[in-house]
Amino acid sequence: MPGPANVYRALVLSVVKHDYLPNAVAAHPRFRLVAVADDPDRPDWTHERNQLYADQHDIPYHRDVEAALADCDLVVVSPEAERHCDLALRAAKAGKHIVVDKPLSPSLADCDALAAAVEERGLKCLVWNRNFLPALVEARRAVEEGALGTLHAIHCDFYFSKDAGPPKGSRGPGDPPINWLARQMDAHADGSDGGVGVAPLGELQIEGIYPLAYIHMLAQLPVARVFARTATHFHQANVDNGVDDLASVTLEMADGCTGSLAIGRIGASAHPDIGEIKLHLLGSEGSLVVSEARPEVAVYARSQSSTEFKHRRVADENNYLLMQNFADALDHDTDLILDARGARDIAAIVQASLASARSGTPVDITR
Amino acid sequence: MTRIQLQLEPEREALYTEASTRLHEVEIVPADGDALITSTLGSSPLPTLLDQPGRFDPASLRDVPAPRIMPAHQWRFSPSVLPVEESRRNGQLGDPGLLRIHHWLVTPSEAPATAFPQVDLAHWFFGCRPEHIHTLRREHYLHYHLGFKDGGMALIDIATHRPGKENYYSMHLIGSQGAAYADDHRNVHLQFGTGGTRAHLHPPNELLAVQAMLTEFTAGLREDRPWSVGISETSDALETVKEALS
Repeated sequence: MPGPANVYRALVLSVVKHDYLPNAVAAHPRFRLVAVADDPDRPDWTHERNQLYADQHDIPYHRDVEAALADCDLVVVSPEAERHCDLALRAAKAGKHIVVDKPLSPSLADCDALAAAVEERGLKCLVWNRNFLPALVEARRAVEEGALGTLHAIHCDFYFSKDAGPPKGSRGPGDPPINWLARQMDAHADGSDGGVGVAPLGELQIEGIYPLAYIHMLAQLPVARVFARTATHFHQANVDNGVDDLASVTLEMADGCTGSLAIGRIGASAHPDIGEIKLHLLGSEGSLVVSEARPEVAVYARSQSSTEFKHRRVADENNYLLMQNFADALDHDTDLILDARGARDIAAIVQASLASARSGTPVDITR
Repeated sequence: MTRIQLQLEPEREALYTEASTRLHEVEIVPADGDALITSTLGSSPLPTLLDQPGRFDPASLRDVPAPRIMPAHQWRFSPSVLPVEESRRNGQLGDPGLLRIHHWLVTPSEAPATAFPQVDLAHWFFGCRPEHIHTLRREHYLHYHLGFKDGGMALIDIATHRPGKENYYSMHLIGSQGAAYADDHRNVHLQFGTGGTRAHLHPPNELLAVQAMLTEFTAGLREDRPWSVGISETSDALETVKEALS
């Protein structure tokens, strides 16, 4: 139940990644961070980051998750990807609502367990996404108003034009392979540590939930089968750890609707901004082409570095609207824009895509 | 002067004729030409630009005299494609990784016929035929997912009979060192009126492509060298289209 002034009290469960998620919760007037908590046996670097975040927000850091759970309305889960479901599930068992970072988990069994626990207890679990970016809001409106008629196809490009350590082919004779966790920890400084954790994750696993959540929201059709190709095309860390940095997925959806996804971390030189992110929708009555980055404002100046994005997104209310969606769900038991079940289904698509890429054949989605 | 005879349908003949007027030392003649542009496979001994090669069955091309035939792979010469290929050829893009094409047409042409030039672009950029072909098809719609050696991949989305008045083309090629984006969406102009907002983009893409292709055809003749595209590449693209639809 909300506290004074109708404000929900949020416990941050581990904040070892860049801190966009707990910051978004803290920024919304209906939520207040009350503490950070993590398990006592975590490595030192984890405790250091948790403590730093707690200090920055003037809240305590507890090295006891279960004890801390007693004093909150909801949890904000932002640890390494492989721990998302573990911490979220423990919170669910304590009867707490959840805001959890993406990806939900590389393990489909973990996703199943979390979705079941949340549903059994009537809890709300918001999985972080970008579905409230202005361009997506407009696209959703067009689809829902029937401007496209019956949807026949939906295609999404999702490229981050960032580097992820040394380029492919840069490892010298006798050099050790790049340690995944160490590389991700280095990436913390520039906020590109979305794959932080012990288990290496490819781009499809780290970021695939974003474009697949677009398709999930706009098409609202289950995916039956996928065909996928993956490659390690850009980064030595991905080569050394056997995970993709470029992928393409074809989605066979209900009602004969075709979907596809092109995704990659394609290097900083491949785009003047953060990357090309687009949607192409085909319907019986019309079509829609959407640039996810717009609206934006262009700024060019002599003082800019080569890596500075020249086009700045504006009117971006994604964080606010996600948390408003969550507040509404808590207040009125309404649906979330992406809940644990939806994220679980996306995780199943990702897992099937990786299996398809390995086998070279289409793979059915596990229900 | 290169004197060229035309054996084409009126619309294509008009297009080639107009393109030829933009070139030096090229003349369209009714007979006794040095070269031929035709859309049929015949027995002419003249060097020939074979128009609309995507309409042929690959088996019919097996016995054609390849050295004297340049297949008209018009899309390769399109204004939006030429800079992409130039960047790829110069090594700016590094190794090709992912090609994405959307081609939506308001015309009632059949999607498989429309697929040929786009599949050919994929072959051209990756330098080979695909190892994996996955196709989804419905009425007036085709989706190709191609897998090439060394992890290369292509997604080609083709729709015909689209509502409205405007075609749409979008293509990008992601390489290991860079990327190229050719996208009608980026190039639209906006027209406001009582009927709302309309996007307009009407450069003479087809004419410019034919002009560039005709330039290559006549240059190959004058310089007595092989053309940049050969009949085996036509066969390859046709085979892939056929295999994908089988």
